[in-house]
Amino acid sequence: MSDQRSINVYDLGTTDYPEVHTLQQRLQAQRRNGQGVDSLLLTEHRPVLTLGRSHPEPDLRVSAEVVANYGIRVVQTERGGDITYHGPGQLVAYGIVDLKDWSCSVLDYVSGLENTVIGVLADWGVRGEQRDGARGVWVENRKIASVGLNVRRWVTMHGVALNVEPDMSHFDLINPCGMQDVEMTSMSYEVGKQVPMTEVLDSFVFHFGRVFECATEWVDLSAKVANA
Amino acid sequence: MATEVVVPSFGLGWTTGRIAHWYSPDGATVSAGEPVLCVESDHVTFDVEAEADGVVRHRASRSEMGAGEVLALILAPGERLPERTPPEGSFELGVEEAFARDEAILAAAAVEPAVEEACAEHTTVVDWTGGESADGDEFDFASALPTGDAESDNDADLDDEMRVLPLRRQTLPEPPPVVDDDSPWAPVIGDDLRVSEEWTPEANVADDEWAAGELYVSGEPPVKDPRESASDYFDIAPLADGVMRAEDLTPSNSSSPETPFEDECDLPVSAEAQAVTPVVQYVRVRADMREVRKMRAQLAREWHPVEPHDEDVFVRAVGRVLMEADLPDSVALVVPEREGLRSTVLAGGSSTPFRAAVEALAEGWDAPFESPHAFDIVSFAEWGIDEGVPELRDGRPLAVAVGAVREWAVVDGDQAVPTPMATLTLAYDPAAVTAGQAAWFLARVRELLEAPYALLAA
Repeated sequence: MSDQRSINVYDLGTTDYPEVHTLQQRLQAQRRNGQGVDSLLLTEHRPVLTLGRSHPEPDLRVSAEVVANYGIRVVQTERGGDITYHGPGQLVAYGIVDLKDWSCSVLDYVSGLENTVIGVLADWGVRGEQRDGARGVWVENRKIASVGLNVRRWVTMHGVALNVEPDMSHFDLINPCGMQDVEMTSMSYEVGKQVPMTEVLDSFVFHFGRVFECATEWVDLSAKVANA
Repeated sequence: MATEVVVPSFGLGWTTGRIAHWYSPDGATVSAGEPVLCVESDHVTFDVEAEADGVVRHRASRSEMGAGEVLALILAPGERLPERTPPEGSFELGVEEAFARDEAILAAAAVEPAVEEACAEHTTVVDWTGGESADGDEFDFASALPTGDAESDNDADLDDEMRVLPLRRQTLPEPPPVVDDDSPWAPVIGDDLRVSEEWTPEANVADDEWAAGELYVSGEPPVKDPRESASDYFDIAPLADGVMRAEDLTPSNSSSPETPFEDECDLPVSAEAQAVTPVVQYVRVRADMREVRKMRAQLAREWHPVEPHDEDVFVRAVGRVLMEADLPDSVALVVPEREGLRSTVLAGGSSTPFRAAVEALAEGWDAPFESPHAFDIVSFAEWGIDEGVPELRDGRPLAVAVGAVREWAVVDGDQAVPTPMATLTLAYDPAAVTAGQAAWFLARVRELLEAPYALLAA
């Protein structure tokens, strides 16, 4: 285990999926070439459906026209896993991490992301669990968070999506992760009241640092935006 | 030295991942750091990169792979694939040695009776000068030779490598059943294509037909496989528990086998293999490989800088036909290559009883020849046939076998011309595939082999 793991944390706010996707690819390419730093990108996407590498056909419960009428785009990505939905009210965390540098195996990293989410849920008194044979975080038999990663030269991209209080009806458009009869849930549903996204963000970063034993450094983007 | 591309380890306790995507097709040129393929497991995709510049050759790619398994080789410029050559001098083996060798080949190929028979047929040694033959139906080969050679009855004049066998034309006793003439399965049946279970020399040989001067030469009639007879019985009297055992497989009339293999080989074949393939029928054609040989350089330019083996072409042809056929399930195919002492299983999906049986037999096959590469598994991924379970029903496979390409005498006009021919056998489960479908399938493979430029078209 590396003595000094550290990661830069960026809160990107509400974003379109493709722009963050491009940002991830650039960060991963930099990191692969030994430049840049490990980064954790936190964001909420505008509604989008994303497809995993080996599932190019969207596993929809409704016709493609219906999805289009919702104004939801379908985007092909290089991550593992099947189709999933991202939208406002869902915390998406993308880690661009050099696993070799962290002396961390791929499975440990995925497991760590899940444990981070379980820590967040615990802060709100919800008991999340990992499941054998089904990645993600589950509350009883309801899925609350999904993972999907791409690794190249031991540098990760993509990550985990935690449902805080998204528009759950959008999940009805798809068979999440290709599994039929999966019931999706959210933190606000499990807690029984509204859950502020900013508090979830802070909690996530805290537990990420705890689980991976790494220093987290918030990077303030507001100054850069103001200067731009 | 070729650089290996291996499956990375995802971590402690991780077992297998599957190949999600090849970024570099077989034969593509890559530079170091370029992704070659993508391995997926547990919601993670891992892009495996090339560690050297060179040409990618896909190797040993089944769909489920564990850490450290070799996925591909990267060849430096001018480097060739490590050849899996037969043992020194195997081509000049004497009869006894050849039999000894064939025993082992049979052991490996015995999961498919048709494969076994294909091997048995090749080892039949016939006195071409017109000695006694089992069915007394031989053709005096000398008279078909060009006049210059006609007087020669001297063995020394024979090309040792040319297996000269009595000419015989084999015809179907009746056309295979066709469900619907308009269906894409409507069989295209050459005269030399036959359905095996009805085969008898008397029923199939029409002496006057070969004289018409059309192409066709065959070897000895294949020795009747006892297990085929058993499968006949199976239709009449299904076994109580549906599982065929070794004792079920030996019909009473096989006590005096015509083939040396049956008493000399004490092969642990039947029970295991038959549990997988209780009923097997097969069709067989012989494909003229002259065009493939002619086009080799051109095919190499199109596919990759290394000249394709006959086997490579065969694999592509079968892949093409599989795509066209749109079979209900994906299939497993066994391709034994006798001269090279290796066999190729082409399979999609995860392990099956059939595949396990083949692999178990192949392990034993390696030993007598000390050939580490006697067994190879090739993926159909690049044809998009990597998904699904490679069995038709209850683990029963559709199997395509290609015998070694050999020189056969083919009557061309009034001359007998030595011609490289590959024997293709398709064994199938009659409950899942009709004879018409099987015939169509194999005829189409032959069509592609005899006109390989069709394989170049997208």
